[in-house]
Amino acid sequence: MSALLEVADLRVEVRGQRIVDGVDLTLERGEALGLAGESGCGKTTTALALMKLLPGGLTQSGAITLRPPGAEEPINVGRRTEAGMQLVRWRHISLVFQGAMNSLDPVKRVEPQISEAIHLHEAKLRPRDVRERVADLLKTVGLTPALGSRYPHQLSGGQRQRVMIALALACNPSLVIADEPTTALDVVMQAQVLKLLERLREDLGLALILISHDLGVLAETCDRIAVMYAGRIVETGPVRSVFDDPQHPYTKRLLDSLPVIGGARGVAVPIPGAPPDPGNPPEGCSFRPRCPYEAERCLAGPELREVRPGQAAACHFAPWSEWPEPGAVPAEREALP
Amino acid sequence: MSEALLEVENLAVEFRSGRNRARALDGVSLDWRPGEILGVVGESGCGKSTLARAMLGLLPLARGEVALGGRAVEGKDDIAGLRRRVQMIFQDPYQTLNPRQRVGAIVAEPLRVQGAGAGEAGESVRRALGEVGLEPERYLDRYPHQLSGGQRQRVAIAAALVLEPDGLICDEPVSMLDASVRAQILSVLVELQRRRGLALMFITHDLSLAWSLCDRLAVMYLGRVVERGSAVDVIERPQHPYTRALVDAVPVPAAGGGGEREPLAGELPDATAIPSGCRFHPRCPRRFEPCDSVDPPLLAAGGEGQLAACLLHDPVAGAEHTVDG
Amino acid sequence: MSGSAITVSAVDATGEAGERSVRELMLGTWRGRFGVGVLGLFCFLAVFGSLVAPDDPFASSLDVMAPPSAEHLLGTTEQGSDVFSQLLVGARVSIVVGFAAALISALLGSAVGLASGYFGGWTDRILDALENWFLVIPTLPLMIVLARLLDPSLTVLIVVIGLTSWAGTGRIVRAQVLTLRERAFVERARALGASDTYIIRTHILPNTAPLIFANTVLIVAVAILSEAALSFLGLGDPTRISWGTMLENAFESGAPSAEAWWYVIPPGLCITMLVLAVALIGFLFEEHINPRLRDQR
Repeated sequence: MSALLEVADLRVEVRGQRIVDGVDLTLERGEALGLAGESGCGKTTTALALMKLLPGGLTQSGAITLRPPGAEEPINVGRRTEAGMQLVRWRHISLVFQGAMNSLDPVKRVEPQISEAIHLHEAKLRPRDVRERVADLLKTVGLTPALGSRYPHQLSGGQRQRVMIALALACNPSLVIADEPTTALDVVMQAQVLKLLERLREDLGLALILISHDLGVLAETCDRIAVMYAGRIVETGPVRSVFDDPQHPYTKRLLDSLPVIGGARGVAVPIPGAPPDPGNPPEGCSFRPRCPYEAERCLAGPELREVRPGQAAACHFAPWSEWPEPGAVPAEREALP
Repeated sequence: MSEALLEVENLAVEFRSGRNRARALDGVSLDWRPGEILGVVGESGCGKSTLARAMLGLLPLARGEVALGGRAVEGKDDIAGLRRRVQMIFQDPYQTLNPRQRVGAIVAEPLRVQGAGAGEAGESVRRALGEVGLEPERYLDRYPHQLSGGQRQRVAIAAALVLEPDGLICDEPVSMLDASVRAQILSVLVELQRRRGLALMFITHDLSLAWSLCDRLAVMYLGRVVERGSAVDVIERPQHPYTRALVDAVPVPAAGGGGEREPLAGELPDATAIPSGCRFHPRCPRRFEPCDSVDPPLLAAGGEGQLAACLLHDPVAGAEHTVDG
Repeated sequence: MSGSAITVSAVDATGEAGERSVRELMLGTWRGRFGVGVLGLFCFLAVFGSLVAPDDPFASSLDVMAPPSAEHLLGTTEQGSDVFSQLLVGARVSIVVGFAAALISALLGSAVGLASGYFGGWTDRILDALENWFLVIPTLPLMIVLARLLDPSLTVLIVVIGLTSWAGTGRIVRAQVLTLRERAFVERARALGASDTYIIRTHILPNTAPLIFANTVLIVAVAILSEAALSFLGLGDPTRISWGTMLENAFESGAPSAEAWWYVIPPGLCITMLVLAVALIGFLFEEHINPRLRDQR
């Protein structure tokens, strides 16, 4: 069965600066892919590019192909015009925006905001059916339908987030992109929302692209994970493999720098420096200036390649079976092709 | 027992809007020992930030007392003295610095406000900047908008250090910073504690952070401390159902992710409508008969020095029950 | 950068237009060059107008309402005075009144806005009511009434215009001060025990100044127009020549029906150009400070 979503060589540029620098992704039906990385790495831009929602001034290129169940032909997002995209957005692929809680129209009640989305794609539905759909959606996300008649400011943060998820589900898409859906929420509310997303995936067979800087959140919800750094994917693979056996120095250092309950106490050794300026990317590997193992061959860009079954990393010295002291790179690695 | 650096007893702070009275702090007692890293955790709205401000005399107290080094703090002079010995850094590095002041002026401000001249201030400023890892020559003349989030937070720390305080209250110091920068800032703070014997109070909703750094921990819920003790004890063997739920809810960046249990239902109630009896009882998975009418005080439970405000630990009422159930 | 808005990562890479420096905006854009150029020219005339003018603008002659000629570049008035000279000299009144009135308005508005925003409570309520009063009253009729009651002179004009236009600035300043008051760096200063004076001087004012400045520049434009209007209605200083009084005289003496375009159009054109120039400069300033105001990165 062919993949639900295939992305090849996605690039986004603005004024000559590369924000997304050649991203390849595949997503199967019902699969949850986590997109990890710090702010500025391009993950939000990637999400927007998938729906061709980039703000003006940014140009995107690359092949994006969507194969929703029930569609006769694959949808070539890359080549669609704006008018063509309007048929695709929300119907097949929808987005829960970052800071979603503030994305609701403050002067409209909840119910009309959801029914508006339904109406845009299924204009022929009777108003009564639409209302019923909205009530169902609210129930699906764990809210009482009565909340539909409230204004956004009358709901709590957690409730608003659920409304945004309901909104994303309004037209039964096969893929939902959630951009930092739990960042502004407390840990308990976060757990509730993640549980909800898990349930929705099970019940609706929903595919999910979850974007977060919080690796813990991704570990809990996703099947596979892609780690982004400076506009490129530096590592990808099943969640279990990437977290237990990272194959890129950035992933490793990132995991090490996170405090974990039950793990070692005390401050971890931080990663020195800061992510690169997109206007001035380093030569070759973008992590090179901060990498404890950088060597001369790192001046030529490492490609993302499979280094373990199902796991790929963009590092010349992968696969890593152990992590040597910073600065020490075993001699034999130099000889790797 | 050594004398506390800062101690509060039965602290209460109220906010009024119209007819509504929100009890943001409703009887908090806590002690912070010299040189220790104390953590205060809880969800937003639990009152932890209010506690910090109340401890510094920034908010009027409805009830209760603050004591610095054993002596009660009353009146403007005492408060001024308190603020010389305890400083605070805030959450948002993008809002915490005056965009029209240069770094040098920002860091010198506490000294200038206290009356120091420009000359004497200069030396202390340089030293403080050095301590947070910012080369004075490179950063003195910069404006905040030329700095990254991590650098701004370092400037804020430097500004807090110039008065050579004994304690530093950190209100979510890294929650708005990127993951890779967080460790940098935290190591600056911990290094200061090690080198200067500076006491730190971390106010955070991030339990993982509390686990990795804090000596002792206090868990707050709706204006009260519901559990207290050594950080390891409180997180590994929580004695209050709320703490239990918090720990369970933390996602772990390892395969499987942890959190198999069903998360806590509902949301934090409004501070204007605090539930009767034990304030946690409506959401508590372990509640039993007296919980809706009796407001439990902090009772001894678990490890040494560990206390939990839960009737499960009352020798009489909780005799038949255990926390794990 | 903490990702707080979708467009953050994208926009940060683009660089907002408003991040350009003042100099870049003023000299690098057509609007800026026009504005600075025209304003510069009229300021020059305000100072040196009487020296540059070919004739004494007050000198009358028998050559009444004459069309432009080699001798009188823009013809003559109903009294035979040289229109061109009057035009050059008239710049002074517009510039002086415009800037002086705007200055009064800015000082008054800032003081009131600052006091009411920072101190709140009763101060705020009283001052706010006062502000509302001034905002609601139609300015031109108010100006006319005040000017009528007092003896006409430049000073009166300046005071009247200043008094009627401060409320807008006051509002804006008050709003800005209210936000600033709650910012962490102000809270920190207060936690250090800083006095109100110190906080206002070091934290509030510097962060409000750009806003006041940009707003005031636009008030200059309004003031210039107001002066022209009042002079046109005969409430200006009769001993001085301004573009407004030129228009007044022109209309009074029937220049339009005499088709004396050289008398009617030039003053109006000058007013328009000056106001346009000032407005453009004001808008450019606003553009410059806007991203800084919105958030500090």
